[in-house]
Amino acid sequence: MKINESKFKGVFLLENKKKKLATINLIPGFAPFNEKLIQKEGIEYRIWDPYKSKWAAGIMKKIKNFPIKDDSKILYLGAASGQSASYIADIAKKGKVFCVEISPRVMRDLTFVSEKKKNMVPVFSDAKIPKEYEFIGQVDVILQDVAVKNQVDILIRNKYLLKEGGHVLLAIKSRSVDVSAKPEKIFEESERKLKNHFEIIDKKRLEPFEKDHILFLLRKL
Amino acid sequence: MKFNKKKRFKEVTVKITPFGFFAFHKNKLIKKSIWKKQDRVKNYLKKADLLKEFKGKVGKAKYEFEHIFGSEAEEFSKKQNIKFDFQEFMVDFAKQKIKNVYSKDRLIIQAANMYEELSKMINMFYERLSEWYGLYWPEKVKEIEHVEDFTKIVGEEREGQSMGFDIEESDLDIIKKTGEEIKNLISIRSKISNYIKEEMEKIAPNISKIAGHNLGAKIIAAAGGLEKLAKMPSSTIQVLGAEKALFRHIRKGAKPPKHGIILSHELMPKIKRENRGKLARVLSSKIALAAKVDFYSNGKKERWEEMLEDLNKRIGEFK
Repeated sequence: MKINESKFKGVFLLENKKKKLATINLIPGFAPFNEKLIQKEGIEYRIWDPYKSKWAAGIMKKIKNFPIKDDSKILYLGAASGQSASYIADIAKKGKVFCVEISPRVMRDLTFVSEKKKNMVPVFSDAKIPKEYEFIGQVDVILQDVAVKNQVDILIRNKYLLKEGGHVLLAIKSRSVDVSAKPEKIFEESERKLKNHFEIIDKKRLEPFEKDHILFLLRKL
Repeated sequence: MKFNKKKRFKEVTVKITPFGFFAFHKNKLIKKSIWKKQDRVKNYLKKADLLKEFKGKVGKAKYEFEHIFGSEAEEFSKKQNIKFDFQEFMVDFAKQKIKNVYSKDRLIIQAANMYEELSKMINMFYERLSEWYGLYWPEKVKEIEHVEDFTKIVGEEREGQSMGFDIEESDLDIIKKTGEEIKNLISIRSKISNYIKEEMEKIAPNISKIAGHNLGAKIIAAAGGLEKLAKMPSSTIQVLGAEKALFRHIRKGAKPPKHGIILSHELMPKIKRENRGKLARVLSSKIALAAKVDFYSNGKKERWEEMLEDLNKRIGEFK
């Protein structure tokens, strides 16, 4: 098996029969989501499944840029049980990932992960109310994956926590906005709204990894 | 008491941090209260009360307060020579919040779901066991109508003429043992049912009277909690449990559903089929009312009598 760093720092490509993504495990031996660990030349890699993480899906769909650096300060809205966030924490190993989540059920799992991964900070708050966690200060990147109706509005509310020139990865699930509308229409509408606030660098539909999802890569002007 | 006439300060700034209070007078630290690591989250959550105490110790003055949190708190802790890890604090903070977030309805929801799942299992096992035992004594199995009666007879030795298959002692033995276990499942199911009844009376007496204990608990479960149910419009309550049909309606314009789990209400079988949609609408409006009373009065107020009266009047109109 060949393992090479992809064009994005900290994201690795495993080439066997199929292409797979991986990160270097920040806490060797720790695999809280039963993900596969692979040892090679003394380094432990965690397989990153694009069917379970929208950011990995975005990389597989060849998104132009992946804004996470090894020392990035990241605001992650809708971290859920912390599965995707734990990979982001692997990549931003010298940075910090503030994981905002409102559901107590998944927050339980998130605290288990954060106890080990010291660069993940659990924030048990509502992403609609950034005032509750603005103490984190301004961040380099916002990642947002919340499956609620007004996904774009939530990002706009959180925009003031993003540094100028900072990037956003925004996953939009059209079925959460309106189950009956055509996804294309929802995505167009979202784009129109986003244009007033951000520069849209790239957008990628996430099929076949996620149905009716789009990933936007944005930059704050 | 030692001779220390309290010194009066005119202007005091108190820094409120996740690890304690620090009172400054003209940039000089005059008093501090530092919390041990294990008390930090607990104390931070009741900081308002503790602050009163702290102010009492500092004495009368013109106070200003400054909240310090996040990386600022980390920096400040270094200056004060205190070990403080903000990330750790946030983990403990989240844990404490998780601890406080649930209320009794969460337990009832789990019990209601367990009851549902147990019922499905018991029915499944009952069918399997009647096939199994039926090989041996088909005449007896045919007489049985309820699963409860069945578990009493399963494993009994055959009497009289039978077309059943002559099985060996060991064959009958394992059937009997399986029957015993199903009996246990039935008994735990009725215990759960009693538990739901008792707890529903405490937190949702009005829903219990309008919908029944078990159905009431199921509705709370489907809504995702008593608070959510209390804030739900009755039209949503009417179709709880029929989401598949509802979304088929919204997306593809199919016929809208008339009722979801509300269909298992005890009044439903007594009403003509064409009126069940109507009944579902009336029932859900009463359940919506009952849920509001139950949630906002913490299960203390009982207003179900007028609701039932109203309900019966409405039913009389289309019976």
